[in-house]
Amino acid sequence: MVLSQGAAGSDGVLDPTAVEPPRLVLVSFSFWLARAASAESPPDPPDLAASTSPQPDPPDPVALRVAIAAHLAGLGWTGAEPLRWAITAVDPLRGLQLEGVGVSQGQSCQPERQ
Amino acid sequence: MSDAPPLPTLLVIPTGVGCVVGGYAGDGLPAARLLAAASGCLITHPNVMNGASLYWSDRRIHYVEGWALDRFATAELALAPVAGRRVGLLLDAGIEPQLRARQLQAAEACRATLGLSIGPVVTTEVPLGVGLSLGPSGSSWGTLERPDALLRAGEKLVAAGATAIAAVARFPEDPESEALVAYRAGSGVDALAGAEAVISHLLVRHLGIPCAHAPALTPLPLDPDLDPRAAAEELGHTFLPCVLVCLSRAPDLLPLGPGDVTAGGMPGRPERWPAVRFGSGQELTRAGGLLEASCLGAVVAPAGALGGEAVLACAARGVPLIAVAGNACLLQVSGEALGLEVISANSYAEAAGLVLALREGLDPAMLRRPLRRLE
Repeated sequence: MVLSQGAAGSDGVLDPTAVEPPRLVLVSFSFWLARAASAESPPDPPDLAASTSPQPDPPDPVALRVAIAAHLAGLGWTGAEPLRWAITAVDPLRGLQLEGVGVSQGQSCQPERQ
Repeated sequence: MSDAPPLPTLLVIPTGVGCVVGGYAGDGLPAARLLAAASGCLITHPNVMNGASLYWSDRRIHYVEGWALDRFATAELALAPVAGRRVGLLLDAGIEPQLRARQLQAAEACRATLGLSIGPVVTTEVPLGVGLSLGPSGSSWGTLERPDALLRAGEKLVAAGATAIAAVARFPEDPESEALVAYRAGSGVDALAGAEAVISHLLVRHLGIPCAHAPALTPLPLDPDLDPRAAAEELGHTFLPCVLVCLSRAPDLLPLGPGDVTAGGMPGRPERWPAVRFGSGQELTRAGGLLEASCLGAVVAPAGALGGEAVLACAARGVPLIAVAGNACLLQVSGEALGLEVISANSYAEAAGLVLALREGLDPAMLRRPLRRLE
């Protein structure tokens, strides 16, 4: 919690009604996340592709949440977490496109606008 | 009608991605009703159920907001059906007086005509400042300038005794925008949907009670070519009645500890909510048993929109995933692309048949040809 400058009364006791909640900030995001398994697998020869191409591992939602939080932290929103998100595209080369909105408490952020 | 035990089934139709079924004004409701009949127990979310002035109340359908739905699917929350609840009304200070009066009259109508318990009413200290946006995929998203004001108003409602919250925010509008024209013609994305979801997600995440949102908008000029799927939103002055009705019976959201998911009767479970294990033949009691992710027998989602948290979490747990190819949307995030095993259905009618098969203990593969021999 962040106390405002005017939070203390005349007797120095904190007035709970003057406590300001943390400043919330909503952050939109969109980025590509490489898929570990498919990114590391070498491409198959054309004539064998149908029979030997490994199936990609299904995405782990817990790992995706961690990746989104890391992405937001990389933008300067340390501690931000995904509020609403989804995989919105899949590309064999770029991986998974993640779009959504994160929520940050905001007070300590120095976002790098990108 | 099946006499087999209910098969709790999760129906997901993501909002704001242009689904041809469920991407408009509660037009996923017929599919939900059918799946509820087939499963005996359907868990779904406001985008499926909300038809502005139109709604359908069914004890077999559990209305769970999207953030809570994700937490339910990831086994962080259990659902506890309730007989009824008191729905507080949260109004954005940015709503003009006439439009505000319309919202209040809709709430009064639901009290007087349907007997719902509604109130109190709290207005945010400042306008919420809803902003709409589209992502690179074309999906609808949105943000708020003052999420803090939203949450403070929600806290006041809870302190005043509300056990659910219907939020109404003033949304930006442009009747001549290409997006709105396309939506009303039945070919576009619901541009409001993403911001609506953000509002309800924030409230549920912060307060831990059922919440849903209805936008405040001025009535649109008559469009004689209006698509039937969008028509429910043009019947009245507000989108609020469906939200109030559905929230009035939305289940409680009970946080689960890390060890609470797979074992019945786990430590920390509230005594008044006995665990219900559908798979072992026990019935959902009228008094209200807990619904947990481990009870789920199927999840149904559009074949091209399988990349949401709830679907991925269910798939990771091995819940049969029915992918409805007939519900096209602007995404192409398929089971094949993600490496997920799916049971394909061409329509929700077929999906309901598959759910019924699972409920009856039939292997859905035995209903298709050719039939492979055992190796």
